[in-house]
Amino acid sequence: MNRVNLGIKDLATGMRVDLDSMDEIHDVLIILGDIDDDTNSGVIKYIGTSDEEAAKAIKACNPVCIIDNSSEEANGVSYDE
Amino acid sequence: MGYPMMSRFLYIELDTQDSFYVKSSCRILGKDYKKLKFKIDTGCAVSVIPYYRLSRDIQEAGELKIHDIDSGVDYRESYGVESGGYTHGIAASREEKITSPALKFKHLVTNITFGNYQIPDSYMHINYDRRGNILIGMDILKRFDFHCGESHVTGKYIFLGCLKDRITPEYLMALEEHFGYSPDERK
Repeated sequence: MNRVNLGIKDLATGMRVDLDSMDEIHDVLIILGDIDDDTNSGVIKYIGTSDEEAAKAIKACNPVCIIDNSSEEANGVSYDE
Repeated sequence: MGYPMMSRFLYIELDTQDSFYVKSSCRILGKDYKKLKFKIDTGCAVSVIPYYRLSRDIQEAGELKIHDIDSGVDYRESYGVESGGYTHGIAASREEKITSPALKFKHLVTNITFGNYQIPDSYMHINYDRRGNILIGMDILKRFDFHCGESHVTGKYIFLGCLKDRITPEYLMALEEHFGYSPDERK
């Protein structure tokens, strides 16, 4: 699947998207299922900021891809590991 | 586009926050994950997976922790950066273990790829209380020959690595290409 520049407003559950493109979507948690390795794509099962809703989506998918750009690290705060 | 070809060595670029992250696939606790972010941490002795990074389900994390305790799953007790300097007494009783955030439980992780580089099935430790990064520590890294430095090709700071028991010609060529290590120097 070709990578395109998508913003959060372009996305909705049910859309099949390029997995690497989702790295550019910030301040949200994206859960993808129905992963296709050949096209490096997945279907958005959840997009938002709720851990509870994300957990339900994760539970329902296997395999699952979790894109977490809502964390502190994504916003510049780092763990001193 | 066919199935992604497996890489013959591990190549990671330092990111804008001075960290080496690699997107990894694996199977843990019966579930398959794609593109999980693993952080390379040479300062970490034991690779650790916060369960939060796999699930987001706090209740489930608690239940699985109790299950691991009651099943006698091997564990280690250690303080992470999230301990904030506080130390804990060694957890002895069942109740102490349940409430201690410092325990991490040993589980087999399979079908592992770091990027497109395949890694043998490995034991890693799951912590059910913390939310930090998934860390790849020296317990796994010591199985690698790896080098870090500024690439002569890209100018970026990179990590190049290859499992010691399966050094590939492509890895040796990459060392020469990126760092100028000549084959003669490696003898």
